[in-house]
Amino acid sequence: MGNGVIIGIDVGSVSTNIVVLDEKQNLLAKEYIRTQGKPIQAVKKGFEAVEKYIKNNPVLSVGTTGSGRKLAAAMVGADVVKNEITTHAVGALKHDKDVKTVIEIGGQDSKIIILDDSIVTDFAMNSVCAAGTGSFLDQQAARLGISIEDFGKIALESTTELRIAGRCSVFAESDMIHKQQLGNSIADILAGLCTSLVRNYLNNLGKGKEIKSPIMFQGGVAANPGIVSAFEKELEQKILIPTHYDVMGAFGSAHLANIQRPSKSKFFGLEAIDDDFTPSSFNCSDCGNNCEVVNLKRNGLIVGSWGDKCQKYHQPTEQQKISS
Amino acid sequence: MGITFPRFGTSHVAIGNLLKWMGHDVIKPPDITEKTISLGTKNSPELACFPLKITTGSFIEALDSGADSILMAGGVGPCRFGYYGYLQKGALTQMGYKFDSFIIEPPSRHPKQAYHTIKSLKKKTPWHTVMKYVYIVLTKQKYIDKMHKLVLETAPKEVGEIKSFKLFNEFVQKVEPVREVKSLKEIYQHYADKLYKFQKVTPKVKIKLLGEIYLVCEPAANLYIEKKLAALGVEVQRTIYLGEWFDGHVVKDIIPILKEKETEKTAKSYLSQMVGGHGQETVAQTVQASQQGFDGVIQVYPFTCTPEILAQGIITKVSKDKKIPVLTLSMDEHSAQAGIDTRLEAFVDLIYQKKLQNERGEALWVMGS
Repeated sequence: MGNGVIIGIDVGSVSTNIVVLDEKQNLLAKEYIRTQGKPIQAVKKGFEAVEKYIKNNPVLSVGTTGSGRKLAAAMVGADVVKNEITTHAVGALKHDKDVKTVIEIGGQDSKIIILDDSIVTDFAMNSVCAAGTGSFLDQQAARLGISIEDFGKIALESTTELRIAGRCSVFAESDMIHKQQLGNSIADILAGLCTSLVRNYLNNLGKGKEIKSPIMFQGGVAANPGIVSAFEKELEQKILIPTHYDVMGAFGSAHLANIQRPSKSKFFGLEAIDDDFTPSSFNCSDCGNNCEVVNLKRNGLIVGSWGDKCQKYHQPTEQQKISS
Repeated sequence: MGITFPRFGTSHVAIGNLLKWMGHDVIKPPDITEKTISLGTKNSPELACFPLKITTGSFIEALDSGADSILMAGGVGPCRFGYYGYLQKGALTQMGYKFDSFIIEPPSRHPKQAYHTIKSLKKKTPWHTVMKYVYIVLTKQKYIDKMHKLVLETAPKEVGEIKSFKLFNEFVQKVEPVREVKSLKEIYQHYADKLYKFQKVTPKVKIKLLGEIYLVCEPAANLYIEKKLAALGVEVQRTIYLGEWFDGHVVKDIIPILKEKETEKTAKSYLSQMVGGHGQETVAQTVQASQQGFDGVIQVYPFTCTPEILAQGIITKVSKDKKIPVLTLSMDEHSAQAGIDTRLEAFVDLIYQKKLQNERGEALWVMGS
């Protein structure tokens, strides 16, 4: 039997990440997997990839986060289920305890987290608008036939400042096409898009907030040097990018799971992840809400239900106790 | 055949009683469900606020189940609410519904109209009997409000499945047919004793819930925010209760000498002017929250609500000055459950961390799942 490990899982709309820490909080493994609308498969894939680290080591604690945190928790047996704001803050603090601002741009969500003296004092999250997120960049790169990895590099070659309408991604796209037809270079257009995405982010989320350094930039989009440089220009400050920028949610979730390590983890074991998980949904017609209730079945047995407003199908959850 | 009125928190008990006792057949507005909201949204202007959409939807449901008259409140001031009754009357008539419409304007501003509407509503009931009925239903409303306050206290202290809210609904059903003040008191005591038995753990934090009156008082409109917060271990204090609101806005408006200037005084350094709706109250109550030992403030309002948007900009400043965290939720028919849950949980985490750091000098991440 080896030393114990701690697992963090972040199930997002675009990517599913998994992080394995050893007992001394050293990172043993990290995996970044595209969710592609199939969170169950993505979690399974993630566990396949980190299997060798878990196989011979006892699992001490498991944390889940992201929009699919409840689903992942019901699948693997999690000890700590936390929202992505808190886990991203914990991740950032583990990297640098002095961090004052966290910029996080993910696939579908973007967030700003303001910290003071190692605690979160304010945050904002984009709601219905996706003009400032990773998937929009993905789409535009694909439309122009550029790989998302090259996107930033090409943008940095720009020599002329182009203004792209950034209020809405649909406006931005038509504006980009318009500028293309006028004969502007791809580099200038991409750089313009970076600037407009950053302005959109700062206007939407940063409004009324004091953005103080150290500023940390995390989420998949932090790999894009075009966006990083646009942020540095707009904020006139240096931006830090943590080593594990792409899996910070899972990283924070694992650290949180470590801090709140239970005497015995609820983890179901590696074999359980190979079980047959089938989500099924039905419309409850007991009242006018017509809720679409989703049941998660493990080998035919219901292990979790969501979506009902009246909580008729909810299993009683353990009420958090305050350890004081 | 019967009269209906908008669904608004628990007010259907008092309003329903009063109308029934004055000799009306009452079609009680049904519970607000997704169906109500989609009916209302379909038949309202896109940018109209959420309360208009919900009440329109509930009028349609009530008319479909046989209502032939509608009672609605009017209003004055910068908030668009005052037009709703007339707008809805037009929209519903255009849809082919035939009904009588009663719109009660504020008695202090439009005494003649208010008098005539109430006179035709009371039928043959003598005025002094009407006054007696009003007294009973107001007392009832105050007991319901009092019970609700107790529920908000006991719910976050429960361990396991939260039963307080269920008991509250039971209590409301129990008091509905009651006509004597004495039995109201007895039923209240019976349920209060049951609720006190639940108390087990200490709530983690205390939050004030404020904002636009409909979104604060109607759980179906604010996505049952009080229940969600209770499950997170939060003691909520709601700023607006219907009984108190009636005293403060209808009775005291008629007798100006009774009117308190407290709100205006408190808000003065931030907002010296009445901006419609509860904009000024929102600002004043945020200032007060910081003095009353609350750990945070949650403002709820319908998307596009002008008074509250004005207030939101100002309470951001109050939040900074008074060092009290503020979370703003603007809601409409699209408000996504999961997004709201994430924000609420993150906000409670934030407050709890701050509290731990202030109390123990360390920020432990000790919250449960």
